[in-house]
Amino acid sequence: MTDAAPLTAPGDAQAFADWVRPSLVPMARLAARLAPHADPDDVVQEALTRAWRKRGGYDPQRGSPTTWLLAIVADQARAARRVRLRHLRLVDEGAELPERASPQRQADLDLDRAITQLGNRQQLAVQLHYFVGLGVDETAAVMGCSAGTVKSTLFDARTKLRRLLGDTDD
Amino acid sequence: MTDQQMHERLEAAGARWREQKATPLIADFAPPPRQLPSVRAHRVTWLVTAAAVIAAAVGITIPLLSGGGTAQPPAGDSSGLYGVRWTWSSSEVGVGGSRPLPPNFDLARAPFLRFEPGGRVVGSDGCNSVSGPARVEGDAIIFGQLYRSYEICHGALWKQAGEINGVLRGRVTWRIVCNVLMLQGHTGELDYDAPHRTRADMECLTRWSNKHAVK
Repeated sequence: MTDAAPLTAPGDAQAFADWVRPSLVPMARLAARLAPHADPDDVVQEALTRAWRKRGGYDPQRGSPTTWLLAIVADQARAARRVRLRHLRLVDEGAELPERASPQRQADLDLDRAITQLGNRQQLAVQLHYFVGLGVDETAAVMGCSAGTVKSTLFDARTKLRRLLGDTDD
Repeated sequence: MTDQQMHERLEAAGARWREQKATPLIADFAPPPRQLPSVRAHRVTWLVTAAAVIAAAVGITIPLLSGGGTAQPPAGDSSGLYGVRWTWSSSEVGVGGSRPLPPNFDLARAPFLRFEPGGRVVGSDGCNSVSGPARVEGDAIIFGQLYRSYEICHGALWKQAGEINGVLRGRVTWRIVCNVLMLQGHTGELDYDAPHRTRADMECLTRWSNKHAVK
């Protein structure tokens, strides 16, 4: 997932639309992972609107367009989660009931639940690296930290997940 | 479970999830115009997004590099109105309007209207099929009693259908702007998209909204 980073975000609407298009899939993935009860397209749309307004602040030295846009999605998803918490949580009638799920699906649901119990930074690192599919360097660019910090954050997250899932090797 | 096994489990779960999920419905992005009044800006942003979302959902390819604006029929010329499946994209009813495309909205059941030159309209309010008399008089459409099927819907769908039916009563002014049919009734405004919206239409709509923004 490498982008040829231009010097600035385009100021022209058509060029900007072309510029963000390769990032739409990872943006939607991150939105769906970080704010599962919001509409991912809402989150992405809000993030794109913010990106358009903030386009002058894009710095190619600090990462690719995709990593810059994903950082905005992460902020936007946090805001969507906060809004969500203020409202009554409705039962999702379309949700797969655990007892109907296959063992594989059940294991993934358990994993998803455990991930939500991680701290914010650990969650973000796990979602970006494992579910959005970014490399460690790209994850670091989105999170605004070094690759080493991402590695240690992921290690801590895995340790906590093992504990939350009741599996340890000791 | 070792750390390596946890890593592998996460990688496998991530790969499965990416295969199943998260293909964005947003087909494209139209930047919001500058300094639009909040209600109008919100509505236009959603109008453009809704058009892209619906286009993506029904498999319409938006020509990305199409050029030029969209020719509009002159006022009073109703030829562009007839025979087109107009698909609802937004409502502005009541204080602050309503948000188009509510979460979990079933796009296959999107409300639509099709006007026939004989003075009839058929379509759907998103919940029930509707049909009945609709006579064009200049810039107005005079709706008669519309007949509806008898399905019961709940939640956002029911609210949306009620808003649509509230507007489609009596004398409703109409205009087509950038391939969007705008209907202004006593209780609010409805917008419907023509099929095969293009990038040029979206840009046209943005320019139009800048010109006609409510101060």
